[in-house]
Amino acid sequence: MSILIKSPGNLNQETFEGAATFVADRSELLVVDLRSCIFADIYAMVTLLTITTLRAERLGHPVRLRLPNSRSTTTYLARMRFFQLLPEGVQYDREPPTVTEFPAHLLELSRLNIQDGERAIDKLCEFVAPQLPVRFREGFVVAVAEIGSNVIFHSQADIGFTAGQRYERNYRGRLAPRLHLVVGDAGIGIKESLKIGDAEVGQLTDKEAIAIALQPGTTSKPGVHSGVGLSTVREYADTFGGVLRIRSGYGSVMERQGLIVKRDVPGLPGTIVSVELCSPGRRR
Amino acid sequence: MPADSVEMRKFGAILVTRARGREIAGALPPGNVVRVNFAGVQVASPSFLDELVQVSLANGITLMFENITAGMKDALNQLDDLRSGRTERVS
Repeated sequence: MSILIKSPGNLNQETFEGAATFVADRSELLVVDLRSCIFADIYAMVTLLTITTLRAERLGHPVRLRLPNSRSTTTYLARMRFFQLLPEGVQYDREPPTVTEFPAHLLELSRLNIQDGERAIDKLCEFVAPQLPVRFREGFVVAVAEIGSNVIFHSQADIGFTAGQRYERNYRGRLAPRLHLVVGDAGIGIKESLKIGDAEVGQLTDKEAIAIALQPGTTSKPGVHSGVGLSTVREYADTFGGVLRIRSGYGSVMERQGLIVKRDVPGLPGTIVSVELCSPGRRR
Repeated sequence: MPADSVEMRKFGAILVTRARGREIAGALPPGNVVRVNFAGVQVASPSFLDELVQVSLANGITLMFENITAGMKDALNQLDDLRSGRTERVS
């Protein structure tokens, strides 16, 4: 069955799930249609890279990409190294642009893997640290590093990506400057990971497993500082009036200022962790 | 003979990965005891410290930590607990 991901104008963490449709024509083709896209956030880019890499690189299925009609959007994606990280074999409807400038407010997409993926974690943490007040810096950076390390050492993933971005505009009541980080992988997912330490988790749905993973001390790998990554990031998202979104397997959990939304979503191997901190440095 | 001293700041203000821990441990001067000074280091994660300590010990080097933050101290105490068997490491 083929998949069509048809981007709306704004392809972001809130619109992404509505962009995918599944077409019952029995082909294995994935078509990513970005023609209408005028903005894509890093949640969308990391998720698209994960899906396309999974299908083209791991499964050997064809992938076709239709670039945005907007030249500035295409340039922005190029600046994020989106096209550079797409797997070999992806067919484009026209040649993507090449760019040489990478603005400081963007942390371009990086691939996580066991060989050199730890450099991507270093880059992510070095991007984050100076943007946070000193008293919050150590705890949050360590939590982000733990989430990245989990992808490399415990998710059994050979496909994973990170990115970071700072936005200077308010969005839907979230105050600028906003710091957005995404870590995604095509590994075993949260439920399977937790099952290693507790077989009963296998009875839960993915969204229930995600909710458990957000509790302090929940881990598949007891040891130093285990079980702090997601729960700490959750605390910071709450403190900074931000948004935490986790997608794993067939489930998704979003938390924003006390509001928790758990949803069933189309299945995707692995986990996408997205955290947005709002107005860091001028806490409300 | 006084212990060698290494300024960790020269390796960066943010030290978070196991790869960096291994790399820095491998660059420490040979000797029984090395003082590692964390003045100017903003973040050193438990994974980084774990690797730094383990590789140093495997190389016959005992580390003396200076100017560490409360978070680093907490992580090092947990590492001590692991090595002394008070906490079990599974992975």
